[in-house]
Amino acid sequence: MATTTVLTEEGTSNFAQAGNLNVHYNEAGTGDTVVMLHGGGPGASGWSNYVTNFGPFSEHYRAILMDMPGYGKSDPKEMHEDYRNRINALALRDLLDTLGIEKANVIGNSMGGATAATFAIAYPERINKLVLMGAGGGGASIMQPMPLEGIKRIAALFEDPTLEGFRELIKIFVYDSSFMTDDLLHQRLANTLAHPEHLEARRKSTKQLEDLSPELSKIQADTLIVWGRDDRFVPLDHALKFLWSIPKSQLHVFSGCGHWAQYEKSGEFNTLVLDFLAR
Amino acid sequence: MIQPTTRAPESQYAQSGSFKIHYHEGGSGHPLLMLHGAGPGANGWGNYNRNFAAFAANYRTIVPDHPGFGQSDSVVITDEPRDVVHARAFKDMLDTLNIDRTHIVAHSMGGGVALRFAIEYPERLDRLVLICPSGGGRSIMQPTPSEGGKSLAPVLRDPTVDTLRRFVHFLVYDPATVPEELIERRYKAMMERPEHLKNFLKSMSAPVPVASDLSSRLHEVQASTLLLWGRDDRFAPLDHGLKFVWGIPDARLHIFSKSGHWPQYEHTLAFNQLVLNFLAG
Amino acid sequence: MTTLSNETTSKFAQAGDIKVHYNEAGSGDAVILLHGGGPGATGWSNYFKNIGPFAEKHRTILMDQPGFGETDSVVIKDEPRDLVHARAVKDLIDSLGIDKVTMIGNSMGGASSIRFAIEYPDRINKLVLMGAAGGGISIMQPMPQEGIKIMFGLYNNPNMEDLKRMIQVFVYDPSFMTEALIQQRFDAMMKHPEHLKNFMDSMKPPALGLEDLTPRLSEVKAKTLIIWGRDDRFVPLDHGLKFLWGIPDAELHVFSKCGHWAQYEHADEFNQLVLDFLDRD
Repeated sequence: MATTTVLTEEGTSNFAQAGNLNVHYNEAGTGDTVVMLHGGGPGASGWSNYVTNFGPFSEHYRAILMDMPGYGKSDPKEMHEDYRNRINALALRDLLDTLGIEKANVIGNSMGGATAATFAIAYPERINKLVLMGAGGGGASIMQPMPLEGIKRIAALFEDPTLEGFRELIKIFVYDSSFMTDDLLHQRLANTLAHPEHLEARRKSTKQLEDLSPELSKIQADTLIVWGRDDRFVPLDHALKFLWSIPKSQLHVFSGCGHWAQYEKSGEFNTLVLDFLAR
Repeated sequence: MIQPTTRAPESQYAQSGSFKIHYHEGGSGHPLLMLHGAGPGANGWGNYNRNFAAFAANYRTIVPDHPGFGQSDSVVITDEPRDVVHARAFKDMLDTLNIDRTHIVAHSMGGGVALRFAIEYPERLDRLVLICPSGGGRSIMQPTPSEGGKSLAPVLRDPTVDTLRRFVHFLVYDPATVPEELIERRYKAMMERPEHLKNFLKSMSAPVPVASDLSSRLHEVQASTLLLWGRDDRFAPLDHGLKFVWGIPDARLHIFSKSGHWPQYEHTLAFNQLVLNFLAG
Repeated sequence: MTTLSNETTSKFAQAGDIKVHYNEAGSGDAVILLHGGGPGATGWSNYFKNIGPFAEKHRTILMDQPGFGETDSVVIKDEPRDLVHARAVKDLIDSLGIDKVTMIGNSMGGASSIRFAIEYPDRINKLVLMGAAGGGISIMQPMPQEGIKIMFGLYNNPNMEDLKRMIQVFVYDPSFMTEALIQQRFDAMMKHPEHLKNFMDSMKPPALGLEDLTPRLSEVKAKTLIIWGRDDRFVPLDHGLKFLWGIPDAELHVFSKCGHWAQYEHADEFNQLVLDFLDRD
C-alpha cells in the first residue's frame, strides 16, 4: 500500500497553453483523469477550493485542479464574446487537447458546476462522468428571491475586497464557520489582491453565467448532483431542477452543509464521489 | 407617499388581562382586528396606515399595538410561547370591548398570533387573513434563519438609524419605495420605548419560541382563511405559504410578485381590494 | 339578464383558413376565454359558469380552438400547437374588428394565451392563466401527471368508464359533477371523432405538441393573474410558481380543494377575483 505523499501547491503547480490562454493547474496522480473546477468568488482557485479532496482523488486518478480564466494564476479574461461558462468550458477542452487527454471525469462547484455542465453539453465525447456541487447555471429559483444573500456578498467583494467583507462572506459560505481563522481570511484577501488584473477583467466583463435550463436535458453523461441543504448561494430548488432535467442523474443533499460541500463534508464527499466514479 | 394616507385616530387604551393595550379605532359595522408584525419600532399604525381608511369605511376597524410594542405595556416573555401570550391578550381585549366575534387581518409575527387565536378561540373568529405569517416552522426550501431574519438582531443590539434602515430595506422588494421619512418615523417610534427592544432581546434568549411551529395544528383552523405572500419575501419563506394552503382546511393563497414581506404597503390597492372582497364573503 | 345558453350565444366566423365557432355575450372591452385540451372540451362546456357574470361587464367570447368543438378540425405537425391556436385567435379578432383583448386561458388554452401575449403584445390587455400548460418540466412532481395519462388513454379509446375516471381526477370534489354534465361531456367527445384522431396525429411527446414556453416568459408584457388549483393533478402547482417568477408583472392565486377546473370548482370566487383584476388599473 503506497503511502500518501503530502501534496503541496508548489509541488503540483503547472502551466500550459489552452487556446490563446495561459492556464495554471495543479496535477497529481495517474490513471483516468478527473478535472475539478472551482467556484467564482474573489480569490478562488483550484487548489484553495479542493484542498481536502486533491489528495484522496490523486490516489486513484490523474487529478487536475484547473484555475479558470480570470482566476488564480491563469490569465485574466474579460468576458464579452460569450457567456463565462462557455468560455470556461472551451478553455478546459483546449487544456485537455494540449495535455493529450481524450476523456475526463469533470467535477464542478458553483461557477465550476455551470462550466462542467456546459462542457458535458458542448463536448459530450470528451466527458465520462459529471459531478455537480451547488452548480450555477440553473436560472431563476421558484422558491427564493434572487440574488441570494451569498451572491450579493460576492458582488460587493468584487467591487471592494476587504478583510471584513471576506469574514462576512465565509460566515455564510459554509454552514459552520467556526474553522475560520484570521490567517485564512488574510490568505484569501491576499490571493485576491495579488491579482488586481482579475478584478479589473471581471468588472469590465459584459457577460456572466448563462441560464442552462433549456439545455440540461442534452447531458448524456452519468451525473451525480451534490448540494448543501443550507446553501445560501445557489438555491436548493436548482438541485431539483438539475435532477429532473439531466436524464441520468441522482441527487445527494447533505444537511448542515452550505455552499462548499466538498470541504464541509470532505470525508463523506470523497467516498461518495469516488464510489460513483468507480461504478 | 411620504405621509401616511390617513391621520391616526385618537389613541385609546383597553385593559386586556394583565396588559394595557394601546389601539386606534375607526369605522363601524362588523369588528375587524388588524395585528402588526414584529421588528424594532413596529406598531399597528405604522404597519397599516395605508390600508386603514379603506377598511374603516366597511368595518369597525381596530388596530392595536402588541404587548411589548408601540404604546402598549412592555413585557418580557419567558414562560410561554409569545404567540400564546399575545393571542390571550387579544381575547381579553375583545372581552373588555364587548366584542363577541371579529375578523382578523394579521401580518408576520401577528400572523402567528392570529393562527394561535384561530386554534384556541375559534368561537371568537369569523374570517382570517394572514399576511406572510410566522408559525410555519422550518422551511424546506431555504436555510433558516432567513437573510431578513438575520438583520433583526443587529438592530436590537445597536439601535441606530443605519441598522434600522438595513432591516427595513430587507422588508420590501424595492427599497426605493421606502422614503427616508418612514425610516425616521420608525426610528423615533423605536427610541420612544427603548425598554421594548431590551425586553424583546431578553425574551429571545428564553427557551420558549417567539413564534411556535403550528404546522401540526393547522387542520384545527376552522375559519375561512386568505393567505397573502410576497414572492420576493426575504423573511418568511414562500414554501410556508404552500404549507399553510395545504394544511388549513378552508384557505386560498395569493402571491404578489415584486413584493417583499410587506405586501399591504408595497401593493396597497390590490391588497385592499382582495382583502375587502374576501372579508365580504 | 336573459339566461344565456349555448344555442343562443353560438356564432361562427372565419379566422384565416379556419372556420371558428364561438359563443358570445355582453358588450364592452373584449375578453376571450380559451378552454383546455381534453377530449370533447369546448368553450361553452369549460366556461358556462363564467360567461354570465363576465358578460355583465365585458364582450365575452368563448372560442372553440382549432380541433375542438364546432371549429374546424386540424392536424398540426409543423408548429407548436399553442402557436397555431394563438394565430387563430388573432385571425378571429381581426375578422371581428377587435383591436385588443384580454386573454383568459385554462390548461392548453393557457399555453395558447401565453403564446398570444408573446406573439401579439400590441393586441392584448391583460392575461389570466388557470392551470396553464407550457411550463415544461416539474421539479416537484413526476410527469406525466396522473390526469394527463388518463386523458391520453381517452383520446386513444374514448369510452364512458374512462371519462368518469378522468373526471374523478379532474376536479377536487367529483361529487358535484352531475350525471347530466358527464353525459354532456361524453356526447361532446363522441360527436367529433375526427377531433380525437387528429389530436393524436398531431401529438409530439411529451407535451401535447405544446412548446415549453419557460425561456420566453420574460417577453410577456401584459399584467398577468395566474390561478391554480392546489390539488391539480393535470398541471403541477410548481408551474404556477414558475410562471410567477418568469412573467415580469404577475400575481398567483392558489385555491385549495381545487383541481384542474378552478373556474368551475370555485366559480363565484373565481369570477369576482378575475373581474376585479380586470377592473384594476
